[in-house]
Amino acid sequence: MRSTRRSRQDPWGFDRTDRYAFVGLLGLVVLVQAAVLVGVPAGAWVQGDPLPVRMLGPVTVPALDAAGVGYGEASYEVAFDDPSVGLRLLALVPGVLTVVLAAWATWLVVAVMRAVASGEPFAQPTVRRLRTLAAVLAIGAPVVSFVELPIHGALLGAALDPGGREVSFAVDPPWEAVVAGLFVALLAEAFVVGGRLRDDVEGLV
Amino acid sequence: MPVDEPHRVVCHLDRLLEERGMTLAALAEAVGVTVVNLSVLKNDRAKAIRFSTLTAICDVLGCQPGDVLSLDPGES
Repeated sequence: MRSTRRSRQDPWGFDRTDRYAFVGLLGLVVLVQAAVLVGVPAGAWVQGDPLPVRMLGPVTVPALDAAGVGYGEASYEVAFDDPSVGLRLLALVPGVLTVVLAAWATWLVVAVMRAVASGEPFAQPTVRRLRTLAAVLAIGAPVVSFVELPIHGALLGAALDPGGREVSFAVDPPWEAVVAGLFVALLAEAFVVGGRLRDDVEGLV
Repeated sequence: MPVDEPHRVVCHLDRLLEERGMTLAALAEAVGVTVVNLSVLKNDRAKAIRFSTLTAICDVLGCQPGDVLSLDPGES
């Protein structure tokens, strides 16, 4: 952090250097997500590598059976050797949606930070952006997570005969994103109150 | 519930200053507020006034709050 007069007085002050670093960090997160969730699968597609899909299914371990030890399902990674273009595109959908949401959230955070830095944080556009960010986190992230289920089901159903084996998928909603979204919604409400206070002070002599 | 604008409070600083041969800048300096803020008050563009500001204006001009501000009867 640059040693400005303000930062010396208040170590938690968010100065210009902090804003640039935060924007850089968010941009890096989006780039890494794009590379991992879209770039790597697209590269595997170009190289003709198998398409991996995770699924859950019952597992049999004779040694554990013999010992009388209980055990549950196992996670399998099914690899499609020669998937169609449609399956490849379908497999890319959750990753693309995740990257789009992350980029949208980053843009909203940057816009809010710019408004705060300009000294006009309590404007209506800032409240609207914070509420949109809350929706992206609390609704968008779980929706993307649930979208993966039918897509994986369609991928496996299109090319795999489970042979009577019970196939299931793990549902892991992104609770952290939901909680963060609710917190941002609360923050937006605080900005609404701040806007009212600012209106009260305007024109005060 | 906040009261919506517009209000009907009228400021008489113009007349008070003229009667005393005082400028707005001199009053601003004596009161300790900016000329811009006093100008806002004088031209009826202020939405609110602090009691401390009103007290200082009355002290400098030797008047009562009712001499500085009055309510326009309007159409009611």
